[in-house]
Amino acid sequence: MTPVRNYLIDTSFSSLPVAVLFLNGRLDASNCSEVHSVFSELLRQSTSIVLDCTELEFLDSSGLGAIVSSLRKAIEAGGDLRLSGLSNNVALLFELTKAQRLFSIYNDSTAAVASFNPLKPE
Amino acid sequence: MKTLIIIRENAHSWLRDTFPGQHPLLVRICNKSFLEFLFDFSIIAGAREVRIVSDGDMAEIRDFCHDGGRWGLNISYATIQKSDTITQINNKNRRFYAAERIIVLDNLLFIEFNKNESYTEYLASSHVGMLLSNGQGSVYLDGADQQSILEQCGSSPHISIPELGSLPEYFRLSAEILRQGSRYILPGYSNEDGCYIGRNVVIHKGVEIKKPVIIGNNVQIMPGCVIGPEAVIGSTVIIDRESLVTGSIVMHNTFVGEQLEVKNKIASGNRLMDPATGASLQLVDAHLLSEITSEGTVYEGIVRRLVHVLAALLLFIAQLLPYLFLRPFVGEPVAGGTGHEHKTAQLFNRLSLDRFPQLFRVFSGSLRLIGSQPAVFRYAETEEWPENEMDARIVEQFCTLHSHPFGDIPLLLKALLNRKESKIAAS
Repeated sequence: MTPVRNYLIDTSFSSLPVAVLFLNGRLDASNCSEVHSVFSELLRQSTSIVLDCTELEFLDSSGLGAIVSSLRKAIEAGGDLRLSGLSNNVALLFELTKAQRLFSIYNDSTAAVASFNPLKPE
Repeated sequence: MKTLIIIRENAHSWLRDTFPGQHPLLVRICNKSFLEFLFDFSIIAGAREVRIVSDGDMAEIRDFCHDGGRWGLNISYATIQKSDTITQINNKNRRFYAAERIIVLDNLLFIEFNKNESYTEYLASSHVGMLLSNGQGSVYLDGADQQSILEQCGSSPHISIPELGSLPEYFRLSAEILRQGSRYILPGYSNEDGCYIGRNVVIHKGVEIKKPVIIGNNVQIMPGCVIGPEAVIGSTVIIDRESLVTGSIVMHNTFVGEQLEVKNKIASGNRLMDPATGASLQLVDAHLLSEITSEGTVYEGIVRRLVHVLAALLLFIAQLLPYLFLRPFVGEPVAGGTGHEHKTAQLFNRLSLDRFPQLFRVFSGSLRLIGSQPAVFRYAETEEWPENEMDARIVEQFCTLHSHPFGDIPLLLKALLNRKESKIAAS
């Protein structure tokens, strides 16, 4: 089953389109390469990316590696990758591996997208 | 004084769900089973004869307790019906306690007490009837109400029944027991308050231990770890390098990988639980969190060696002529070169001829043909996605966990076909 449900480009901030990539189901060794390829494609459209994990049920270290790798690519492209909607179960893996320190994590994708607002006060 | 312990099979289902495969009363808290804490209380109360009655299967309990000699007790067993009330149970066991007083521990997992206080006089002088109850279980006194010798105790010793019906309550109680360790008889050597270490514990250089902490038997704590404060480490546990375990319980037979952070969690085999949120994650990555199992049998090792040698022999035959033909044309690799020599070197590597000399080490048994480092081919080379050493180790751990002597053959073929410009260094 594909882990990538959909993606959209949020243009709320006209000067900065934010891409939202929706994950669902399982992200593991068998399908994490799909995230790599979709993410690379998405990076051409926007370097500000939100990974919506609301419907992500399971993540293993390969999946986490794909997400970390995506963060690295986003940063190298001068942008950022932020996470939203992590379930408690999925968050456990981030806490165990200390990966939660690498990301900005939000409750939902709206807040994550809003965090990219260039006019947002510090 | 005697003790009657009533075990109801349908009680404590949350424990069976959380720690499957174990009888609820044999689940450990601070490295000691609930049942043993009840035995401790029984001894402190002056009761050396214990009867365990249950409406379910007691085989596991019997196997664990036998006749109670281990604790200096005399343990007997009896069955009851599911519908039996406490009065009916007491009546059925009248012969057991005859004219003596009896403490009935009904459906209890734990009693809070203090080993430094005296309970014999208090229990001997208390009236027959319900002593404590919390809706889940109770402490009941039965037997002769010997008015002639009743005398009031100066002060009642501390005794209470904690709420224990969920994982957060278990977690809280575990921390409480550890903090108040001097009140109980906790397993392990304790030269100082708040620190209990079991047998055969290896604590490597650079490990920081912060009290209170309890560590079971046969434990290895690798360099750079921080254990505690408020860490319960069970028996047969390995905490790999530079990991942090604080405010957490690592149950027995658990491997915690390196550079991890177990904070306010319960780790049991490959399960990680957060008592605060109720979240539970079953990890498939053995290098992160896994159950410690025994290594493969000697037979499996011999079969694997045989398979690798035979496969290496076939590879040797296939590669011999190309190696002899191409080797003289392959000089030192030139970075960014695009000439004929560079293309020859590329072909040389593409056919895995660079690994040819290492096949002799496979024949001698000093190197595996395929496996985790060191090996002629690494498991990590079977996948295209690893980009760095960490990614490689993920694949290797996965393959090692699921490895099988004959399963190495298809993996070898994958590694041979996947000989792209690998970022992963071979051994």
